[in-house]
Amino acid sequence: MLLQLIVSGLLLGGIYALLSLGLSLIFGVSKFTNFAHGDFVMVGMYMAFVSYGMFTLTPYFSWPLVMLGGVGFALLLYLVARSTIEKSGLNQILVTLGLSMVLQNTVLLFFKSDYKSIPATFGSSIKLGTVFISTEMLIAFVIAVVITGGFFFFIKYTDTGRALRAVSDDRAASKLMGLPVNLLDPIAFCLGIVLACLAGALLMTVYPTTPTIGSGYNLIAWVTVVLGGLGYLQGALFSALLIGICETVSGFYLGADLRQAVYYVLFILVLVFRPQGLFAGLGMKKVKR
Amino acid sequence: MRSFLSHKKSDYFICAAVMLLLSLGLLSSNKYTLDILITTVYFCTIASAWNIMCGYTGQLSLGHGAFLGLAQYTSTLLYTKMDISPWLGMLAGGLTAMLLALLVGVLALRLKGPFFALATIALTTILEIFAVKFDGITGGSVGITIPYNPSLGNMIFKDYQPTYFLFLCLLALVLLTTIYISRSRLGSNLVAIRENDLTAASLGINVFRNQLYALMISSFFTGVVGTLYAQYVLFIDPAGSFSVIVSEKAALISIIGGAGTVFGPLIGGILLAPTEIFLRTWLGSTYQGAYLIVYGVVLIFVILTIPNGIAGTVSAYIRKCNCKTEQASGDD
Repeated sequence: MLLQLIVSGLLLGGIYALLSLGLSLIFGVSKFTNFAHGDFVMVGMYMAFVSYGMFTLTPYFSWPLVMLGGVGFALLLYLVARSTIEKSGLNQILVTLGLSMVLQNTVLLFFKSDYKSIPATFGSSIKLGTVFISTEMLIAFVIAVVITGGFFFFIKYTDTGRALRAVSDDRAASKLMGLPVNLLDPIAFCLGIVLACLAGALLMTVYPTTPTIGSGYNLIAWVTVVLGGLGYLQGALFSALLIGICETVSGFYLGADLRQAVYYVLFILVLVFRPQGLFAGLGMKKVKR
Repeated sequence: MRSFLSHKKSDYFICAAVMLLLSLGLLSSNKYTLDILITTVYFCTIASAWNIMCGYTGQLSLGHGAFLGLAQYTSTLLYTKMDISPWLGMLAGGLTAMLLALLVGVLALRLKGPFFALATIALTTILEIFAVKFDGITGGSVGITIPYNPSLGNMIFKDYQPTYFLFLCLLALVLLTTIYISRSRLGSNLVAIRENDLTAASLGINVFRNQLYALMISSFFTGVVGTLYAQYVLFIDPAGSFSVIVSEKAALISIIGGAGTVFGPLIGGILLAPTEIFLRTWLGSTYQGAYLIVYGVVLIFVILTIPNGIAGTVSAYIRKCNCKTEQASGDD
């Protein structure tokens, strides 16, 4: 049973990795505290839902639309929040909090508060030894892994990726070296938000959605980023997997309603006693200064 | 120094004037009007209590719902299960909220900025989950309905005027405390911490202890007003008591009005709470979240244009004018 739980936790964590990578990137590059990150996951879910409703495209085919929409929302966020970058973090929190309220309740206006879902495409599950794996979940995980791999390739080997890493390393020095920081900020925003929206589209294949679901994902994204150590992209990846496993295991042994409490408690404990993150000092490269 | 003190004297004067103005509502017997007034004063009081901690120290708490809910559950359970009068329950609720604040403070006050905010949100969510989970004691997600037995001892009244009067008294108490703190050593320490905590610490101010005091005072009042509200609506449930929305509202009413000023939360509450009720009734149940869109847009607008809030901007303007007139009189 434990093996089963760990496997499904890993699959879930793979999707969480997308949102925590996005949040970590925006926090690292622009030093921007985004409290609306989860709401972009919610927006991604609804975009997937709408494309299914209008064109009967499952998320496996509607992802270009979701990406396009994600870029639009990222630019909206950038436009609203542009003047708070490099300023007080409190104002960034408050602006994104306001944006989160606007997003949640605009979606509520159009779609009402009932749960929306997309019918399963495959529905069956695969049996591997003693472990059952839902086909939907497995495909979502594989896609998430491909996206994550592409993201890391982009960050590591392209010029833009290098520039992004440089800016998150030292913003002032990058400016002095002539990097177009004003251009890199929206790029980081776009990448981060698109990742969140894609995570939403993938989650839509397995879970239903409702307008307020974003608050939970927001906290999950922050929990993984803090657990992984601020600005460590690899750390965010590992802690996302860890949170996924933690969620399924505690959900099974303590009951579904307590599973969130477990990682929130873990979150507070890590914040208080190990604010540098769980994996700090294990030879991981920092993306943040 | 004298101008500092006389400035505070005018604060007491404004406070008295506002309370007199608000107490005109006691003359009304229209339940709808009184309900609007009570809700307004309720939000003014929560925001003012939030302001004592977060406005003056600059620590953003988005989890005052934790204190509110814990106090509501304490007083309501004492009343419904053990028949202890809400008057005592109110005090007990305030004190348990204060104890929680002590715990939160010891654990989380060393965190700054987004991390303190996140920890407080997480705490509120944890308490909500517990309130749902331990349904043997708390009644679970169904909530607890307080039986309607109007009497002074039960703090349940047939008319709305006594309740409104109680809310007004509490608001006055919170405002007086805020004025007192803002002119006390604690207040100036808090402002010093907000402006630059490292400098404050190097001047010998115990950053942690001062913030802890402020948080405890703030949570006490939050708890007390929460229990009062529970006795007014006669119903509590986990989603309503430990609500992140209420915590966010406390924060943004205060910030829009002007955090770190005595009357900012009052201005914010008087502007926003009736707007909310109006939008809710006007747009009805078809557009249930519309008022929160307004909140969000106003919040973004205020932060981007006047980050000090209404009261902060106005008082800065007045100070500027005063400086000019003083200079002019000095020239004579």
